[in-house]
Amino acid sequence: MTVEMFDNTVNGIRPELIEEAADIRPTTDRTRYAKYAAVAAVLAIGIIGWALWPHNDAPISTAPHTPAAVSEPRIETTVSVPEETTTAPTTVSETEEISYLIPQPPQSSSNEILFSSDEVTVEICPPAAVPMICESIMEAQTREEFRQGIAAVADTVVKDVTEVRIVYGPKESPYTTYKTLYTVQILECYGNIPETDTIVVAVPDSSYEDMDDIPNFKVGDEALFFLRDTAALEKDPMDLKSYSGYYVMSPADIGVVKNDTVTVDSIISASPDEQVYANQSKVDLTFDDFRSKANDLLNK
Amino acid sequence: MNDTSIIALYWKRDERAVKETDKKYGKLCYRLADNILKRREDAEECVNDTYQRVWDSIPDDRPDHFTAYICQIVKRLAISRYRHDTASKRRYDAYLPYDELAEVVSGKDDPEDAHIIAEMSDAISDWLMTESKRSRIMFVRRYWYYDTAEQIADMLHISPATVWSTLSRMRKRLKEYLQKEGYDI
Repeated sequence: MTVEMFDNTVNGIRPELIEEAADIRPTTDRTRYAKYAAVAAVLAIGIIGWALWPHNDAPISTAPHTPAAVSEPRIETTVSVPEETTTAPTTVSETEEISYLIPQPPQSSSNEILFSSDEVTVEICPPAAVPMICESIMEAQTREEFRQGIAAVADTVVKDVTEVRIVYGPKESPYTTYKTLYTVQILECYGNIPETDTIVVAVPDSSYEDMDDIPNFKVGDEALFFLRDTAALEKDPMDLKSYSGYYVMSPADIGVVKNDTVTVDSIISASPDEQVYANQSKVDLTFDDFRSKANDLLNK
Repeated sequence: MNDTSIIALYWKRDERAVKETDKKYGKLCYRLADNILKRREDAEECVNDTYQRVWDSIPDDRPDHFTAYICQIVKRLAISRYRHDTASKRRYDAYLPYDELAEVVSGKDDPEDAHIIAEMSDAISDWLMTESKRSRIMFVRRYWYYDTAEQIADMLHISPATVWSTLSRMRKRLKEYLQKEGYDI
């Protein structure tokens, strides 16, 4: 068959497919600039975060972090951290320095798979970048593989959480959404564990690829959330799709057990920036939570 | 205005139909025409011809899929015009991504192929439905609308490299699928 003939066959695909693809709009200048602004903000704050992070010999703060407190001592209470948490990995790599900066779970358990397995690799990136790379998700060829990857590494258990707030960005401008994500990420980078039971979850704006996968939650629903692969960000910092990394899905969607869920207590639509910042100290999402659950799942 | 209302205007022979069509589909039509013709004036003229063609065909037509209907007309007119304009010097259709599609097909001109085109279109549609929505959109935008990877990346807020790699993987899967379905392409 010639290329021209093949083109004719593609031309004859069903009209539904043609219409589906037609319903995508080019990025407006406004959203483009918003993307750049959000990236700049993430990078700038990430660098500050990196600089301010307590090093090896500093105790790890569990106090909520607010922007105003950046230059002040952040220690309200301290937790006992196992020695392993600040031990550099035996394999020397580019991420070695980062392993000092971010608390890691103990590596002593024989059954634990901390950062890699045959199927899954979870790495720590510098704070300015998005923290998790999940190869199995990135390499997923089908939706089912994607979900399996998610189920394997990414559902996060946050104990004692009783409230989930879902923040929707306005459809025309993803800026608010990205800003929300950025807020969550920065708090992750600081490793804060606020004394709170609220999670702010950012949902990708409605132009996002798999919006169909995001259920419409209502108050009282059970939900879980997880980090999505964000490896593309490292390759292309302007690829803001990578920031749309927080998904909220119904438990049935990826088949996790019921007690791994949290309950939706409130939903905020098109939250203004001030509201996002107001919620900043209420975010509760940590690397440890993520890794702990990922290890549990991998060892099942 | 929704498609049903626009079509109703055509049926009433109300000239607002053309205005509403242009408002809703003007940019899409222009882009498709421009992807093929690569000249602003030609593309604009092609879009205007399309509106005339739609005006002439509705009634009697009452398309269920108005977007696809109008895009098919634009595409047909644009290709026809392109081939007319380049008839004396054309060796190949410049808007077609030959290098990419050559990965899928053998390149041999088999007369039997013409008979299986419709059937294979259905098979490709079936296969596309097994792909993720994003991949599907990328494929259709690249090989039906002839968008560039950069245009697709811009629309989907992803990098062109992601578009290229996704399309490359899709072409491999499509070839495997068609061969599995018994098509000797």
